[in-house]
Amino acid sequence: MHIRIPSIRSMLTSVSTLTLLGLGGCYTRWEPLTFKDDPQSTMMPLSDLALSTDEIYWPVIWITVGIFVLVQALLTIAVFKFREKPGEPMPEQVHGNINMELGWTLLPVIILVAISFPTVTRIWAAQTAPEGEVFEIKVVGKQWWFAFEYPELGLVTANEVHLPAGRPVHLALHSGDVIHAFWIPRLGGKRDLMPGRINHIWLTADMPPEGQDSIRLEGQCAELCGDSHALMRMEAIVHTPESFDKWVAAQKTAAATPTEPLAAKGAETFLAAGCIACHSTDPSNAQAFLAPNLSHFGSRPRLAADRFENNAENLAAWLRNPQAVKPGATMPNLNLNDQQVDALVAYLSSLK
Amino acid sequence: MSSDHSAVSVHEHPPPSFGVPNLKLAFWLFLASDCMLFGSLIATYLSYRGKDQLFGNGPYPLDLFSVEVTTISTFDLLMSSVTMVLAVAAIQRGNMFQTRLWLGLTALLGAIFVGFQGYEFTHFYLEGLKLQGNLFGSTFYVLTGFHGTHVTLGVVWLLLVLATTFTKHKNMVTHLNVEVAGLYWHFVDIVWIVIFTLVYLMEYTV
Amino acid sequence: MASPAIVLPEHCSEEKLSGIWSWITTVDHKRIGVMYGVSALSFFVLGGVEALAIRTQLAMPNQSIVGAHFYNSLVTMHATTMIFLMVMPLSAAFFNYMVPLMIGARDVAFPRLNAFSFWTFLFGGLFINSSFFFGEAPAAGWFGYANLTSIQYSPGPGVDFWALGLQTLGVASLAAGFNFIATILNMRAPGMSLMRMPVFVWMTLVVQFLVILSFPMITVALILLTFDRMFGTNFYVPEAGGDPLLWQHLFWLFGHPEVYILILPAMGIVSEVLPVFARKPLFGAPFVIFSGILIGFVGFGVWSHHMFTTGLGPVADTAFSLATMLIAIPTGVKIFNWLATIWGGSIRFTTAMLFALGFISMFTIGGLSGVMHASPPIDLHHQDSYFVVAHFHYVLYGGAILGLFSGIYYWFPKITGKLMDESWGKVHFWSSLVGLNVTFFPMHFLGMQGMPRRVYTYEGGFGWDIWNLCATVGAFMLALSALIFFINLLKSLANGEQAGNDPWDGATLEWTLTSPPPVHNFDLMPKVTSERPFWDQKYGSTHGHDDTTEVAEEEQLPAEIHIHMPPASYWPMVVSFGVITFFAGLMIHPVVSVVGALTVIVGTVAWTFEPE
Repeated sequence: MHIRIPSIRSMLTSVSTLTLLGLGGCYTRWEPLTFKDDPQSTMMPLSDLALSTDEIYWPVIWITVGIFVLVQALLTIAVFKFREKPGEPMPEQVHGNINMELGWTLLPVIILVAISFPTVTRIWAAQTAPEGEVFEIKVVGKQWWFAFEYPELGLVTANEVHLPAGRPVHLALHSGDVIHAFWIPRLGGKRDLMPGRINHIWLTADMPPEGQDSIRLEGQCAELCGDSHALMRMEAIVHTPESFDKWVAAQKTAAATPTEPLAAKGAETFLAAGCIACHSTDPSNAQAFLAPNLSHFGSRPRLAADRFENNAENLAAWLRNPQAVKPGATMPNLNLNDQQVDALVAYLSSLK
Repeated sequence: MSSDHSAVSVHEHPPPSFGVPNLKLAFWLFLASDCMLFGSLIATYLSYRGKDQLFGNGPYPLDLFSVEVTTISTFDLLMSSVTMVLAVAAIQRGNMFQTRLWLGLTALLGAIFVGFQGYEFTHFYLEGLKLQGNLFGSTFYVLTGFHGTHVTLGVVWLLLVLATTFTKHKNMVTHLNVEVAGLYWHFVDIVWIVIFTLVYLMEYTV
Repeated sequence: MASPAIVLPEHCSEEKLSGIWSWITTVDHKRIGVMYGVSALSFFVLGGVEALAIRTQLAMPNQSIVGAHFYNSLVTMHATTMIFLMVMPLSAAFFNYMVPLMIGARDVAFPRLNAFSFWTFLFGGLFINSSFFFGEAPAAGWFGYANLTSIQYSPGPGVDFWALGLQTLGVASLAAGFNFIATILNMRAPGMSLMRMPVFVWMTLVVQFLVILSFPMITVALILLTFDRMFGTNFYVPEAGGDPLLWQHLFWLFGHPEVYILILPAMGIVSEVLPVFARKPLFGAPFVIFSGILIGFVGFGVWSHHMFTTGLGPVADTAFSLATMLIAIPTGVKIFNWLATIWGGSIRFTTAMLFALGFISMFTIGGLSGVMHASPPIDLHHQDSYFVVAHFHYVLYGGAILGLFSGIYYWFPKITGKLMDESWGKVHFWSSLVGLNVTFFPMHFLGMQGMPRRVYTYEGGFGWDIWNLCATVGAFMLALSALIFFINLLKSLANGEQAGNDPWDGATLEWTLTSPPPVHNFDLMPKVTSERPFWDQKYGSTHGHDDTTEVAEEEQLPAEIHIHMPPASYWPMVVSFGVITFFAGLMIHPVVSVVGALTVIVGTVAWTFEPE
């Protein structure tokens, strides 16, 4: 069987055309692959950082799909066309062809060079602090929850990070024990939280969808950090500027002392049972890094690092036996009796 | 298929296709590997150099080093490489007495080096440098400790070769064997030169 | 003229070669190869069971079939087993059995060292797995990142089993590395220049260089970890100035060459199988060889592409990204050369060929997903997500394992004298191909949907449920395909069809021998005049020019030839035992380590003075 060997020029022409088409034309998003209804989809950008990644992701997807199709097609054709037929003579014993070697070496080179340019510009852009005013957030990952401090506001939160949309935000990433990773896919790629050093994410979140004050985005730790790595989740709440100011104001206002008897009892239990030693209900307390800050706990939709719905049943289960809910949890089992648990549940739920 | 065109040599040990006897070739490969080992240990030492200062956690190298003493031990080890060369030359000439003499001297000089290392470790330890105490202690003891272990094993090897020359197996001590022992010995010496430069001497310049 | 009579030493008699003791003391590369193969396939089952447990737990959200900690042990051991106790030893089985045959040698350069490598590997593998029974299997991931592996955050014995076991395996691999390089460089038959070596032998050579130059880095990484855990040093303790990144650098300086160690042997096998069953030479053989060498070389320069999320800075990220893209080029060259090999051929679809073709297809997928995350902006999503799990399973299962199965079906007749059943083989192939795609393709989607890896459970409502269930179904399909394989293996061993010397119309020297070969391999050293010595002998040289090296007048062959074969020895196993005792002693009692070290020294001396 004689092989038609293409000339170098024709190969280069087709290759460069394909590549330019691929990169120039193909920021085409195919909806099924955007997983648009999935909370942690990496294909639904909601920040400048995430969008920048998205803009290189899709062309690269199409290029790799193209190469995949090409190789599989060649393989399939070969397998059908050149299967052994009875009585056929020994095939031509071709040892090689230098032009083809050059061709299929240059083809990948051109494609990769094409991919490398937008790659390198994005590497540098993502790791360069933006000019001008930047909103600072300090992130501390510990087994197995996230603490967030807002130095400019004098506030702390746990497991929920609140961001103002449309303003550059700087997330300074710290670890309190082992390596963790901060990943809220719709806001961008992940970065590790490394003990002994500070890593950085700079991003500007997009405005929430039309008609919404804020939008809740899902994320979780993405570096194996021990037994409950799977349960170390978090949410980002991106606010419109007005909504953000409202949130700040509400957050700074400490929850009212509960008057309802059971909740009041719970407030006492909170002190008596020793919860206060690690947890604080004061939204500004820096000591909150010991254990999740519980200010306005009653307003949070989720508990145990964004893992479970915040309702009475789940909260009670946690209080009775933290390790049963979160294997290896650092919070000691205080051996609370039912009355103490009920009181605490009422108290914590009242912290709106 | 006829065997006439396919069969050739009936020699039992055909000459090595690469031109270097198996033992020597394999040993060079081992040395390449050992290079990567020491390279990693040295890189670890260098990456942690000076970090203790940030923690205020002494003692520090310059508090402990006596470059005079270490220069003597370095010289001792260098001389042992000379005696090793002489041992290889001696067996090449077939002079068993000199082979034994130079092997023995090499082992002795090597043992003296190990002695110096032991003295230095003890001295540093008594001055407060523990394995666990600070990064300098950890990296220093592990790096030089592994080197010292290599030297010790080398001394044992040389003594075994020497002892063999007095037994009925003396014909096993060939030029190749002594040369391979020599390769190891010179390697250990070269690694020391690198360590001496990067760990000791560099403290006095940079 | 009459062939001379072959006279073998007394220790090669039938009687001396039967019984368990003959296997324990064997130094025959063929027997050692078989032992590696049997061990690797056994560990394959173990690793597979671990995979099934993982997939069962993840089949649906919020399950608690296994607990959180044990799940982390399962993922750690599944990976450690498959990488170090399955793919590497199965590749070693082929290095051992085939390389001497393919280069026309009687054995490897150091037969006893070869046996030592096997026993050390076996003891190391058993040691790591004994952790399940002695407190805790390691649970910090197969790449054991510091400082999760510190005594503070992993207080149980699991990480110690892992570290010391890996050290043991490292010793085994290093010894084999020195052995095989010396063998390949020094023991080729007359006329077999380096460029006339089979591509499988070339890939073996490159792999051994990777082993001897990369393993020392993990040796040091593990030494530092062991010192931290057992002797209180602070190499990886951040509070005392240690840097967890030091572990990552050292680990990946080993870890990246390691993945090429895992894939190149399979690529070598595919390079042997495709030409035989397409009845054409390997297209661009020198280019395939040089690509392998280049991959090995550049493979030392890409390690930090595993660390794009750690904050190395834009300079490092750029350098490693570009180097990683560079390495895609020789890989692509190989794929195109393989396609060109079958193009224009006359293809026979034996099971071996099917697996080799499957390799091309599946490895391309894995390679392409790898190119995607060579770009850090994209990798910051892929890293530590299921996308990466998809990538490496495509290159490891779709690549290495399919390639190794191709080798099994190809060389089983040579090793056993029998053919494997082709019908069962085809069922094995198709069920593997379908199974692996059903298992691993959905993982690309899971990654794109933001599912991290190493999570023992997940919530519903993230879009992950369907793909996880799909992957679990696929895993059980793979289990079934493996069962089919083992049935075929045993059935064929028992009553497979006789294979004869050359069932496939092969091109390389091993097919000139009986199946199985005699203990001494070759009666007379073969004379080699091309890279396809047996093919040319059968069909005449196909090179335009005459590149036969003229050999001197045929020697007058004597009536009798006495062949020297190395005698069996128990010292390799004794020294192996000393090695594992030394390492185990670090967990038990210092005296045990001392005993182990002394056993090594005394055993080595005895080994040296044993008559050869």
